[in-house]
Amino acid sequence: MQTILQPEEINPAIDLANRILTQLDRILLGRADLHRLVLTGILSRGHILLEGLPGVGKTALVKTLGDLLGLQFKRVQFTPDLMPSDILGSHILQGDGDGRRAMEFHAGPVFTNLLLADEINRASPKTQSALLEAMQERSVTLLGSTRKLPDPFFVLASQNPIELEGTYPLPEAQLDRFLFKLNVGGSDVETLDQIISTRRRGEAPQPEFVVSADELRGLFAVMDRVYLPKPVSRYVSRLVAATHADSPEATDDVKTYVAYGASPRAAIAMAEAARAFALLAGRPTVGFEDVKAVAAPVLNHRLVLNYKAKFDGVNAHDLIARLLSQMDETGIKLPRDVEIEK
Amino acid sequence: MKTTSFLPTNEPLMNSAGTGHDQSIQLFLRKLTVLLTLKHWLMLATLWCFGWGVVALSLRATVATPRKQLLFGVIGILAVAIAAFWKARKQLPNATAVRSLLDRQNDCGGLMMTAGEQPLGNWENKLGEVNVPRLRWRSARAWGLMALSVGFVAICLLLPVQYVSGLAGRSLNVSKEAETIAAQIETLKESQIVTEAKAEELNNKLDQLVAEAAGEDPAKTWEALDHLANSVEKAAQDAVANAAGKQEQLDKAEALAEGLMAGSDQMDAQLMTEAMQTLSTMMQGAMANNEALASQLSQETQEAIKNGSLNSEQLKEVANALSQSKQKLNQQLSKLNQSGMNRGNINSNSLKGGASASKRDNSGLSKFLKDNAQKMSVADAVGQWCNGNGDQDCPPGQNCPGGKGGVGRGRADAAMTWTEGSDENNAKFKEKALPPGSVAGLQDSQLIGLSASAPEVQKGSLAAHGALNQATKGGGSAYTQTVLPKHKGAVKKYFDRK
Repeated sequence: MQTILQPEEINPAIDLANRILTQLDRILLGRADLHRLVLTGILSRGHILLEGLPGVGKTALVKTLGDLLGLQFKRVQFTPDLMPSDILGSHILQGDGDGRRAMEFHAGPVFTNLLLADEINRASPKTQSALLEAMQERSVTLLGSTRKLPDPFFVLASQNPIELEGTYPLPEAQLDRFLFKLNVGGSDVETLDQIISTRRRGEAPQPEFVVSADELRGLFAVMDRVYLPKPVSRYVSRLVAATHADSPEATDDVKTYVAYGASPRAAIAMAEAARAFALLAGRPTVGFEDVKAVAAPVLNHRLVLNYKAKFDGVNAHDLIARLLSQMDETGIKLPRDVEIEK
Repeated sequence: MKTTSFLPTNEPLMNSAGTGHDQSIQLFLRKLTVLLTLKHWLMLATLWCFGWGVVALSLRATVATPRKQLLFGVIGILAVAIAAFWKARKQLPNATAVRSLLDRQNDCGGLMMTAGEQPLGNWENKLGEVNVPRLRWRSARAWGLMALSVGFVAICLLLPVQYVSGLAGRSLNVSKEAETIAAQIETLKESQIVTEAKAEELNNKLDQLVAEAAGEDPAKTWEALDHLANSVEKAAQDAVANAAGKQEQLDKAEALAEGLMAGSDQMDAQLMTEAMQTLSTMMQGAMANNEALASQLSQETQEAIKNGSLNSEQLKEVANALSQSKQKLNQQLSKLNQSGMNRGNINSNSLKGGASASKRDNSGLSKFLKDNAQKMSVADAVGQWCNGNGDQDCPPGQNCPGGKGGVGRGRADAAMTWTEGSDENNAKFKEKALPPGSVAGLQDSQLIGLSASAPEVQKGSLAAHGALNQATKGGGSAYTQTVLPKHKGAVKKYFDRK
């Protein structure tokens, strides 16, 4: 019988992950939780949507991550006139030395390991849709020929929650392809003071080391062996199912405010993210707390709320928090007046 | 040692981890089973108690089931414990769920859950003992309801039967009246006023009446009870009247016997013979009416009575027998009085020859007979002698008319006596009617002076007193206010508005 990851197997991976996190925390100040979640997303091989105001460090985070992981990094500034070919690439009529001409494929910026899609919601739906295949299939099909993208391939997109004029909100299909949607908030006084006093012109220090390709592959391999116990997978399933108003376990809030719940892709994403989070916590198995930690980033962009929620000022984060607090992880149903004390 | 497992048999606890965790899971399940059983038992027992109380109350109200039989309901409280255990077992979570609970409660990070599915390898050493979480049950409400239900059962069982009947609203409680009548029937039976068969018949009637007493129609029940009580009372009244006759008969015979015993030497032979003959007649009549009297007399004395030749010893025996018979009759009358049946209030004292007559001195009867020998027969003379009974002011042998006053103390044929009227000679004021002018003209009168003398009274005219002197009989309407002209317009307007 196959055993779970043994301490001697998992410890190097944990050590490496912690070193990456330490570097991230050193380079980008005051964002430890965000770094942990971003690394969780990377280990899960998922795409991440970063939402935040300009200047909070979204691009710097992605760039640092690319440097640290030794990944090829490209940045595309999304604008309304950006065309799909500007991202995916195009065929150009090219002449060779013999005077012969042929259509030659010029790869777009998507052919990279780490793509920063800056202000993704400013591009037209047509251009946004160009990323669908790349994000899901990790390949690009142009003029009938499909080309694989480099492995690993991540899209880290950013969008500005204000200045919505002239933007195109991401369609649900596009949103669903993002593993996480992370809110990048402002920094506190201490962090700002530290940035000002240690960073001239805001230039971040260079990483002290770069993760090699083998090390990264080893990290992914360990991540794949993190064990998900049945009660936890059951909990993930129940949690995602409960986001649908017609589910037996749906809470009153869900029934009142949710128009459409999360997709099965959300359950897959949550399970993978929980595995990565458990690895970062130094464990070979996933616990309920890992699921709870990644539930909000996984679900918050996947719930479609109705107008009543907008009127009542209820957002997805509130709903998910209430859902997590109301649903018992173990599924044990006891009478109302019987409680389990710790 | 064999241990009872609370887990479903087809579900393994774990496949690789230590037994310590198995024991923790078992312990938790055991604790949960006990708690859930207690909780369900409390709930079911509460329901049972309420149901038991309602059934007990209904049975007591309808078929008067005794309390002891209703106490069997307590078995139900024990029986529901089995149902509670069964229900608790059905509610128990499976081992996997308990394992995940223990994992969560002990912050095992999924290791304990994994232990149920995969070998942990070196991680087993890091996974130490787990603490079984405590269970908390907010039971105040359940216990409160249980106490309420037990109290309800207690009330239903201990409530006096008359209140239960009242709740049912069906039967009428006539037990007190029935007891009184039953006691009266028993008295009549003991006094041999009614036969045993008649007493049985009356008792049956009474029982039937009590059983059929209905709260919806109490008048019918009370009428029937009154009728039965009257029947019993009438029998008693007849018995009392009969006893009064016997008492008088015995009294006369006793007086004559004692008179003859005391003064036989004062009478001549003819008077003696007539007196003996009279006594013989009286005694034979008394013995015919009173069987016990004959049993108190010897054969010789009875023969002597028949022959009218009683000696002094026999006379004494006769007098004693008569006295005892009178006492028995007095006792019978007393019983009837005590039972409340003698509403005519005929008691031994008010009867001729009753309890008070036994003190009469009959030694002078011989002289009275001798003195009146030419005027009346011996029987009449004895009757007249006895008529002066109970009156200390009336000497024996004198016909004293009238009584002393009061109820039951004398006859009604006494002449009425009046004292003299009050004297008006010394009265200061005498009643006089004032003439009508002195009241009617008061408002127009003028003060012409004050005098201490009595007002002058015009003879032959009486004052017309009272404010309603001029009032005439009305036509049935109390409101007689005149409608003034200025109101007529308003009234006309009111009726013309249609």
